[in-house]
Amino acid sequence: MDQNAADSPVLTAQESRASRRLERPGWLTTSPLTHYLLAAPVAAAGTLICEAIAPWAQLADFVIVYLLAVVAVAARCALGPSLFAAVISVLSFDYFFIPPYLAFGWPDAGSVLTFVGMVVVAGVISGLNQSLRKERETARRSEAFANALYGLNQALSEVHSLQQLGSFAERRLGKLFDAQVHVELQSGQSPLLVDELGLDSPEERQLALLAWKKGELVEDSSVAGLNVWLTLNGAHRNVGLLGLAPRSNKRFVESGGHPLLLACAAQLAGAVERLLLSDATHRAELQAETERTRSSLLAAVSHDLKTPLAAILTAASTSAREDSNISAEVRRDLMRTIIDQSERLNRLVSNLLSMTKLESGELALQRLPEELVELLDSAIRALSVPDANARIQVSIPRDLPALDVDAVLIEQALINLLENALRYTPANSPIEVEASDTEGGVRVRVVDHGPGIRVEEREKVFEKFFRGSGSKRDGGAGLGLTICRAAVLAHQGRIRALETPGGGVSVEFTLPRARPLRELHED
Amino acid sequence: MTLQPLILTIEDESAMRRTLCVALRDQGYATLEAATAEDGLYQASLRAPNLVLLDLGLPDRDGVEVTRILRRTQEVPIIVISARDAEAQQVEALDAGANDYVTKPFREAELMARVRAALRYAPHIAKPSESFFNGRLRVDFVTHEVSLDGQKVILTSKQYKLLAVLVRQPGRVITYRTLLREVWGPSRVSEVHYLRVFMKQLRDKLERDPARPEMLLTAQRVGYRFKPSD
Repeated sequence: MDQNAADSPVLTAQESRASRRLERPGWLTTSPLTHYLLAAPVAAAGTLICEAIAPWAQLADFVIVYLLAVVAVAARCALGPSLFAAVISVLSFDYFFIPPYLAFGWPDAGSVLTFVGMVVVAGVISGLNQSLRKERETARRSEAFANALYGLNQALSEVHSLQQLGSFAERRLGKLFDAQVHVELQSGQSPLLVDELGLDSPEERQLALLAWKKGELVEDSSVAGLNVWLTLNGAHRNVGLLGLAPRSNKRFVESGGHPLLLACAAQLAGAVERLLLSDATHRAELQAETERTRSSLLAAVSHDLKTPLAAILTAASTSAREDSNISAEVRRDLMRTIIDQSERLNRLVSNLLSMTKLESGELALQRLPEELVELLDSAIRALSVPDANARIQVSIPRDLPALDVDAVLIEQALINLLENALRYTPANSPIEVEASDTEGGVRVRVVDHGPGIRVEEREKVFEKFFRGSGSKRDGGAGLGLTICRAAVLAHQGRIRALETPGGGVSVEFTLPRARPLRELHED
Repeated sequence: MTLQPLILTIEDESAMRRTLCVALRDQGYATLEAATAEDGLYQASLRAPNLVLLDLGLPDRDGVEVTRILRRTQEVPIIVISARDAEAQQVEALDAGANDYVTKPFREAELMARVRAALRYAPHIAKPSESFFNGRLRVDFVTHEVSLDGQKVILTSKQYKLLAVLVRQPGRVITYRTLLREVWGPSRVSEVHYLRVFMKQLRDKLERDPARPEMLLTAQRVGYRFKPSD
């Protein structure tokens, strides 16, 4: 929202100008009493001028001076004060300049005509001016109205989520109308429950319900709090409710009142519908994607589960057959197969469990300060490759900071990376694990010197079920590296596959550091 | 004929229970079986086994509760068996008095190593000794002196406390919570970070290769254990 304001400074400037103009007290709106009071000094000023020019002037000149004074008042004030000014002027004129001087005398016929003329002039000019002012006021209002609507429309178009829209509209309209605003949007198909609006008083609730049922604006000034309610009418159905509690009724009317409020509500309803529509599209896409993933996962998993199971079943049933005459050596071989295939099943199930955990999101992560050395040590112990310990060379600096990670996931990621490295490289080639502390966290690198991955496959190896051109037939489900990536991403890290200088793959990833220990409480 | 150690297996899944017993008998142990917590507790009180293998996912009673009940009356070592995604329960069982744990699926060799260790050091639970020596490491619980291969090792008081808690119960998994409470006090039981730092320091002083510890082992997500020897 703030960003929004920053994006369109012109708009906000326009808007605030409009509201300033609306708030500025016009002559018409100030109390008429002051206008009546204005008549006296104006008449006095006329008298003074007349006195000043008396030596050279005639009676008709005095009439002109007073007439000008009356016109001056009439140009600014309503009919009442104008007539009042005319009367005072007439009286002053009579008192000071018509014999007997300094006393009210009954004027002659010519003076009466002058008096009547003055009053009529005052009335006509004031009337003319008033209609002119009214027109100007109307023009100003409609300009402010248009500006306010335009500003709202622009601002609403920049909001991209329904969750934000409600509070955004509340703030925006609250400022526009100088009122407390409550917006309740009905996303989805569920009926809008007035009980869930979070309203304080039953009167407010009743009014809101009435507005919702009628589908139009209802107002009840006897209700404290939100006493103006209207329904946001979308093209097909009502999409929400808007409640308003003006801080000052006068300012509410000045800022546009009901017409502007209704227009704003229509804009808001439009914005809600637009977002609902884009939301629905997005959800449909997501669902389709999930569905695709699920069916391919199911297909891959059932295949990958069945393969080792079939091997186990065959080997076990063969060695268990009573009438068989297989040698002890062959029987041991069969047992070896059963163990190997069970390990493979175990690996697959572990990966599937990690996958489930990752897909259930951030909540499932149990992050603790962990030492990379310890994670690596238990990962190596968990490997089912016999010579793993001898082939893996760990070089981690002693002062490497602790990580802030979920130990189970990162251990699984390390197991997968090491297992891949061990399986795809010649039996005696070493695997190196290096780590260093960098700006963006702790960088870990698992380096092998095997055949490597083709450049165009380096991104794809992290994708679900992707089997590289160099994959082995007895491999996993193509989930290993996917889990590595998902685990690293879940910790806001990055992962990529690089070429080891001289051949092979180096998988490099970053993990967040744990918050450093402030005090150690040593004794 | 020497007396074979008697091992009670409490496990509801019959295939697993029978396999475990076959494997144990093959290693020369005498076995008892129970499919429910009730039966297990009954047999434990009746036969006084030397070791209990306890599955945490029993149908009739929570495994952690069974651990507590067993501990109330017996010093018998308990090894809990649990599924992969039940660390919280594992930790609870260890805090309730279980000695060790294995996570399904496990290899036979792994289980047997745990069983041997638990049986061997069982007496230590009952009889607090004044010192520990395994051929390399000597810890004197009275003078607080530690030496490695005959060389004196200087430890800070917290480092010594941490080492002592682990060495006093060889082979036994001590949870983060217990270690932190014993060494830093009850207000620091969630500061796993302290343990990481001090364990690193201890390994630097006591292990041949601190990155591949042989004595001070990590029980991932759960705690640490002291492995006295192979």
